[in-house]
Amino acid sequence: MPLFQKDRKYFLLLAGLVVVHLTLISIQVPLGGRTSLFEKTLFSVLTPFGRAASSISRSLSSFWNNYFYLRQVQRQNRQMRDELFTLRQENNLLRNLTEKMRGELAIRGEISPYFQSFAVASVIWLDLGNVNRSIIINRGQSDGIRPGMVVLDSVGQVVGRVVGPILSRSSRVQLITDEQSGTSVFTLNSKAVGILKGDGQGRCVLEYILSTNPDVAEEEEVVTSGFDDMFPSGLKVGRIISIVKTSSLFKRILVRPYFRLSELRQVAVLTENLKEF
Amino acid sequence: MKNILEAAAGILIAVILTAFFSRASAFLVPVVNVFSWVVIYFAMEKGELAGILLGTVCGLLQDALSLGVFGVAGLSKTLLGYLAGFISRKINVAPFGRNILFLFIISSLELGLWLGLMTFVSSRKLFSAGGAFLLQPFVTALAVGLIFKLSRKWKREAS
Repeated sequence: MPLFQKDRKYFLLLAGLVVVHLTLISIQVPLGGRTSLFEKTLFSVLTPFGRAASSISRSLSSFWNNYFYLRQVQRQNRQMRDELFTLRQENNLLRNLTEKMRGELAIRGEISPYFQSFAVASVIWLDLGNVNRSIIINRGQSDGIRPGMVVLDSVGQVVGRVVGPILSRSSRVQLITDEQSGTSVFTLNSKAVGILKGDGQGRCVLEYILSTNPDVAEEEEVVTSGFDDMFPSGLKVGRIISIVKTSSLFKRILVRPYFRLSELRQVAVLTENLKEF
Repeated sequence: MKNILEAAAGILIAVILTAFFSRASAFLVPVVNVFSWVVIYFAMEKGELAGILLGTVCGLLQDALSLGVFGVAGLSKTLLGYLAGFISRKINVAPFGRNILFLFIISSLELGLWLGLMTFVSSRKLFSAGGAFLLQPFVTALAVGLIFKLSRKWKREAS
């Protein structure tokens, strides 16, 4: 085939594919936030490889830590023993305190939903477009994961909530640092209620706090309010790092979330619809 | 058949390496784009047809791993594959220095195109990672340049 004919053929193929991509992009407008079947199919093809890579990486790292780098294992072991001791003491104190306050049967009835109400999941991938938007975890429909379920880090701080696509053994979690996320929260000391949104840069913005509100202060803790019927109330979210008075009706308040993306290896998905913590 | 198997292996390696880098550090995700390595390598090695097709596949796979507008990376990587294959056939980019320079320019173009498209079609802000994502073309140029150097060395030794 003459060279220019070949060039023309490739150029036509390129033009065809560009049209296909533009169509793909444009058909997402009527879909809104929903996932297309094509995207879901690609996602389902990809995740088994991600799960495999993630488990190989975990195995290699544990092989290294368990058989070669034993100093770290010893240090971790000591830390965990100390932590376990402290947690047991705290747990006993809290149990005693609650039992003193109410009858045992009533306590068991209230506490039981909190036990075994979560699924532990490993993070397979971070978002390739913007790491602060979403993560992909290795738990899905077969593990009881449903859209909207709340996701916490290893110490119970809010990470985000499950969004589509949810496959049999994997699902996507929208982080609270995503710009299109929204969480109803309040400040712990001043009790100011607002909506927390991500800024796409790893922090969050607390919106709808009136400029005239004098009580909200820097370093104040932010927790979920439960008013959105998505997140149970009382979950730790983050801490206020800056407050700027603007000419608008509301203050511009920046919040640093507690969860650390760089340390996010495992998360807990709340599989029960708990109202408060 | 051999070409298809090689391309499939390339995609598989990209998927696995991306998962590894995701687990290793959040900082590496915007800096290291292994899907671009695969597209550029195959486009320059096999021609623009391989570049176009692999660009489409790798781009859409990248889109599937991102919560955003589906198809943006697909479009930018398809164009990247075509340009890398077409230009490398017209001018000699085999010498190492020239190779690195060409790779840097072509991957900067892809990053610019992706950023432009994202800004145009999505209301979400882009994550700059403190400007670290600007390192992506450097990393891509060095990584693919090294892969070319090694593969040429192996081919020479094999023949």
